[in-house]
Amino acid sequence: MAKIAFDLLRFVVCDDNAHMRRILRTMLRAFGSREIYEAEEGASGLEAVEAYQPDILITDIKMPIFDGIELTRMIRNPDGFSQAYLPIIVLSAYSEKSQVIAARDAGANDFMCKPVSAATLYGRIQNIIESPRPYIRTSTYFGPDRRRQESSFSGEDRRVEDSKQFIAVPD
Amino acid sequence: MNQPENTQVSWPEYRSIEVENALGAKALRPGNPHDALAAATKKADTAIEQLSAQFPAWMQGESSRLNKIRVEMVKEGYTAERLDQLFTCAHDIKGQAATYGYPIAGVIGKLLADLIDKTPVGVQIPLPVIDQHVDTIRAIVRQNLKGDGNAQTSNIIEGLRVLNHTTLKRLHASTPAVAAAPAK
Repeated sequence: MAKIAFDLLRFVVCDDNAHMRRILRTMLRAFGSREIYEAEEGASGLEAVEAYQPDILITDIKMPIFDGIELTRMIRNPDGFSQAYLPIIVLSAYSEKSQVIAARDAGANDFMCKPVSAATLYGRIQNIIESPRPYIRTSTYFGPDRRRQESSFSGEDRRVEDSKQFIAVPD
Repeated sequence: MNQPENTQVSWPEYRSIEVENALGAKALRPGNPHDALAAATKKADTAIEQLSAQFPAWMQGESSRLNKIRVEMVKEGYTAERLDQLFTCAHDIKGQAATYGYPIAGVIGKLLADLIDKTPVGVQIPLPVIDQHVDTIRAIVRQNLKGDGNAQTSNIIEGLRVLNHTTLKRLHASTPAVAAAPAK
């Protein structure tokens, strides 16, 4: 654990609501960040990511042209986009589980519900910087490992024994 | 961030890629994380507090935008495009009103957004039902009703919940079921 030098971090904030962008910018500036670029919809968000090469993208879901989920999917293209590993925090007024899962499956690193507090925003950024997850590439997914943590438990690990019966170990 | 890849585990259809923590190397510095968090959030909360003088005007702007779309719906027609605009505005209010200090308006925004979201595509929501949501939000802003509300606002919210429930039930009941495709 350590403190974060926000003055060394560059952000792109993508939200179609100017007031929300102002609030996020105010929080990030208060944390110490000096490089905060804004975009007001998915297409200009993608352009901003390409142009400014941010360290972290914070994006809303519901936006015109293409939304935050589509923006995340377009970025998570390791064969066609240079910023495919960019940490992405999806921010939305949608709190339904389906939207959280959609953001996760698109490759978002984290999700935040509006209204957002400074402590929550700081915590999400801290988590991304201090505890980055490995990336997973399959035929249908590229992005951070969707298993967030390995939970410890007491007792016999039956999954290991059971899995030996069903899963062929690759060469 | 163009990260160097160090593939740890590889199956034909699955690769776990351990990426170098370039962001950590760039931005983590020795220090007490708890003190850093407390100082950063205190500074941010102070900055938001200074910004909050503008929140009533911002909330007024959202309320006016909502009303403008409703008026256009009444005068110029209920269209899918206007309904989408109304949803976007209600959704914005749902997400931001609490930050502006009007959490009750946020709850009403959520009720309106949910109503639009759950209405069958192509079915018109009765305008008086939309009016009740829009007028309630406007009244909250006009009266500068900040905070978590009171017994009266709880009753209004509950009334809108019941209204939406019965409206959706009626709209779904009146929507003809999609006919099954004929067998080929």
